[in-house]
Amino acid sequence: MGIQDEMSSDLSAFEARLSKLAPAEALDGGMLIFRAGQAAGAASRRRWQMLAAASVCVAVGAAMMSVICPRTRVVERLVHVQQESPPPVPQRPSLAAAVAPQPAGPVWKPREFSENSYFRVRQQVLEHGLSALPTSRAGSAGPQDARRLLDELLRGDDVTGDRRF
Amino acid sequence: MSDERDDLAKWFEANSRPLALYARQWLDDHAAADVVQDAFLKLLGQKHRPADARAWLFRAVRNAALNELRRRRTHARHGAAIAAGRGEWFEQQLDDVIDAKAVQEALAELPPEQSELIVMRIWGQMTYEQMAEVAGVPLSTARERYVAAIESLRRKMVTPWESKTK
Repeated sequence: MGIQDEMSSDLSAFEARLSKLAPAEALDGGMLIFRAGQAAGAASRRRWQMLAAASVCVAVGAAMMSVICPRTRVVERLVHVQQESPPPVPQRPSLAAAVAPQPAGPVWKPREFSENSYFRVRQQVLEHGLSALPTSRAGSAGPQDARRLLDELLRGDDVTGDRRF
Repeated sequence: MSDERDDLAKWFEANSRPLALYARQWLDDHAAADVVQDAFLKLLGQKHRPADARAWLFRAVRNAALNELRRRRTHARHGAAIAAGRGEWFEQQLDDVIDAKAVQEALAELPPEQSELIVMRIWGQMTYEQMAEVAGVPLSTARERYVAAIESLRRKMVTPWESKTK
């Protein structure tokens, strides 16, 4: 059931007549604008006052900190540190050594032969003649023995030692 | 800032008179004017504008008026005699089809919970939903209370001659 149904036509007409009445002017619009400006100014002033108060608090706090807190002391100390010896520098070869010609190959040395080797015997024979041949029974030996003796000489075996023909 | 002033001027133009009449249901003229001014200033100071500025203004005026009434610990409504001592609630025009003075006296005799609904509906041009929200009552209660109020006001407006003829 709607509100219009609830209300009779007389009441609706009464509403319409009431709505013709205009409420009286009760407020001064200029005064309202003035108060609005006052409120805005007060808000701005409060903002600046709060900012100034905060700055003063920070300044006072900083001053108190500088008074209360100990200052940082700068202490100078001489510390002797044993310097470690530098690692030995490898010696460079001298200029003369560096310039000196290096042998191209291995140095030849006369070969040392055993006392009764073939080459030793030959060398002795070449230097002193056949008389330098070791005494042996070569003359009494047969061709086979001579052959064997020669082989032994060529191998460098001792032909004058304990060998007995 | 200029937009805010424009908004304030617009709201003031549209709502100041109904709001003042609304506040007069509880307070005298001077206190009612102060309450309405404070409501406008409070609206101007809002960070987020209310979606329904008119309902917000009526609610702010209602709360402030009831607080002021409690603070003074006096009842603002003392019948027709007190209402007559107040300033004019309506602008009387020659071609008015209804007597403004009689309406003022009849409204003053109604209990505030009824007269506030009439003011909101007739001169505030508010919906029943808005009226219910401002008055803090269910929608059905607002409707029933309004119908009862307008009937009561009409009965009070009927002159003795009219009542005899009926």
